[in-house]
Amino acid sequence: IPKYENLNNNVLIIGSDIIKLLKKQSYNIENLYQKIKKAKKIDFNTFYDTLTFLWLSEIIEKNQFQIYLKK
Amino acid sequence: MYLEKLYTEPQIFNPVKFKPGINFIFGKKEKTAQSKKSLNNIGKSTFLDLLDFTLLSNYNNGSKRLYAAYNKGYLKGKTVVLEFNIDGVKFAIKRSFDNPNKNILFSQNNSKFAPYNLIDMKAKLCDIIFKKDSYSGHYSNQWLRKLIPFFIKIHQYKKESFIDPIRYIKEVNETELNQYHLFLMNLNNTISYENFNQQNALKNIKPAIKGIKSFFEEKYDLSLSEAKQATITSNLNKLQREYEELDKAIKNFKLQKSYTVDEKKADEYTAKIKQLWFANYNDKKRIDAYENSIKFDDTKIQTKKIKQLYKEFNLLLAENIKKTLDETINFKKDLIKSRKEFISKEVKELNKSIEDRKKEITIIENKRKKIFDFLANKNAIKDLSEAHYRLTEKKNELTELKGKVDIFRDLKKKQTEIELEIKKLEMKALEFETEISDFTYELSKIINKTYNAIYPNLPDTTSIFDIGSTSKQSKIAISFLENTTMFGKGKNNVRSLIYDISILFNSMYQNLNSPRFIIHDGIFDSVDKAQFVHLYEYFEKKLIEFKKEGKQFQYILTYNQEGKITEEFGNAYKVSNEKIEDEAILTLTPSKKLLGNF
Repeated sequence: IPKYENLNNNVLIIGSDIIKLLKKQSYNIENLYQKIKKAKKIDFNTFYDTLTFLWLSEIIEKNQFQIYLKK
Repeated sequence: MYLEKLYTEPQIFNPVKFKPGINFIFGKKEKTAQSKKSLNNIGKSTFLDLLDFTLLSNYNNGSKRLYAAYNKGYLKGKTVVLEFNIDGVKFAIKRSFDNPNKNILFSQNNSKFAPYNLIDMKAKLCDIIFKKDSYSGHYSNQWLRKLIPFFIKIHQYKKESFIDPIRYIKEVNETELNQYHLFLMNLNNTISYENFNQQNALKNIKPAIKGIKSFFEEKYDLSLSEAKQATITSNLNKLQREYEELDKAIKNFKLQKSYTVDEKKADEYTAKIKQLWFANYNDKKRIDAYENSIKFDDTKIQTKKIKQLYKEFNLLLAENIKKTLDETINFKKDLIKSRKEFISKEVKELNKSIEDRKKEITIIENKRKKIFDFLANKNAIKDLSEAHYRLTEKKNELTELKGKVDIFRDLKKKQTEIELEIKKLEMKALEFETEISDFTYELSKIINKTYNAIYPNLPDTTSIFDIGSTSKQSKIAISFLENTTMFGKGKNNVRSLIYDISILFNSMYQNLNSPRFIIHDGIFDSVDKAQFVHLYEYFEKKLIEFKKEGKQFQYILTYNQEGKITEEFGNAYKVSNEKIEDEAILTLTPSKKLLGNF
């Protein structure tokens, strides 16, 4: 990742963690956050940004509460 | 049985040979400066002890003289030998002081001496001396030391007086002795023998009954001590009622098995309540976590920031982006909203399940309370372990009580049976009295003759002797001059003299297998010496009389030298000191004692 302020390493690293988790099963937002929080110190904003980035990349999708990998 | 010779190996005193008629063991005074010395303790009784020892008397602490002599060394390494004969057959018995109860040597007809232990020797000797082939009553070869004391009467202590000849063993009661008396008279002793056994059985039962009675008294405050049967019965009924109540109580315990079931149920409820409480606690923790989580989430949409993110992403992937900026902003909005909704939904659900559990807990607690109330109301149990404890206690009490009652009843039944048997024997004794009246008359004649020979100046009393039935424990009573006041403190000496000699003569008339001797230690100590002269003359006469039939008897007595006898009686020359010393089978003086200076 080059000048990109917001799309920083942090988002990318957490993004790859989330992908790993979602490969095994889908999570609701809260549980996913608690799961990630156990491994990395993270604020809600970064968490939400990461999910937004993954969604933009067409990697994940969400219904009412659940987040899952796009097939 | 005649006595022939008594001596010791190695020899302590010259062998003493017995002879027909009177055998004096004479205590002689000495005509020296020491003539005042006592004639006591010179060994007269000890000599008789030695004779009794060979006939297997008990040798222990009780036989004071011999035991003391042994402990002082006079009898160590010594063996006493008695030679006797029965119907011309010679016997000899050797008993040592070092080993008095084993290795008793016995010889018959000059055979080699064979060793016996005490028990076997007693049985063999008893048969030899006493067994009668044609005897109709009961005889046992265990009786040696119950029969011999009738013929050998030795004093254990100085100055000890003669005892009642009918009760010739101090420690034994008439109930037992009667069977030996009747045996010695050759009368059927079955009634006495059976009575003795029944009375013994009764004697064994009584302490047991007494023990149980005192148990009742102490533990249940039931007095059974009154002799009244009715009282005992009512007490037993009371006891029975108590027992039944106790039994019922126990049965109720058994019926209410629901007690244990209820207890189990209560335990189950308690476990369930704990489980529900724990689940609620966990859920509350989760709610706390959710609420904390929401509290610190102050995320704003930050539209500007999303725009920049979107822009940077566009630069990176350009053509591939299908979402619009607005969609992206909405997505993030939705994320935030969605999480909050999820949490509030979760919290709501958790709260609902907590409420549900609380309701369940209330229901279960009420059920449990009912059980506890029920058990508490019964006042029977505060908890299960106490219930079991009380149950066990009750059971033990019941078992003990029932056991005692059963034993008591068995014993009472047994006692009644025995008493019934004894009653029957009492009836038989009445018949027996009639059956033996001829014999009683014959024996009375012998006794009267002896009595009149020794007391020629007294009126002829025809009824001084009788064998009859009695309601007393012995059921058969032999009565002989027991209430007379004629002889002062020498009463039992005179009674023994007359009775024993009469029994001896009776067995001679009837040719019975039994000792042909009587041994009386100090019989004339408390008796008027005039009677001694009469006895001497009577024996002279009887000796000649029996000799014609080829029979003889021996009368062995200890006799101390007297001072003035010669001056007072016409025929006293016959028993002058010189004559007695001349005739004596053993003469002892203060300086020539039996065992030396013992």
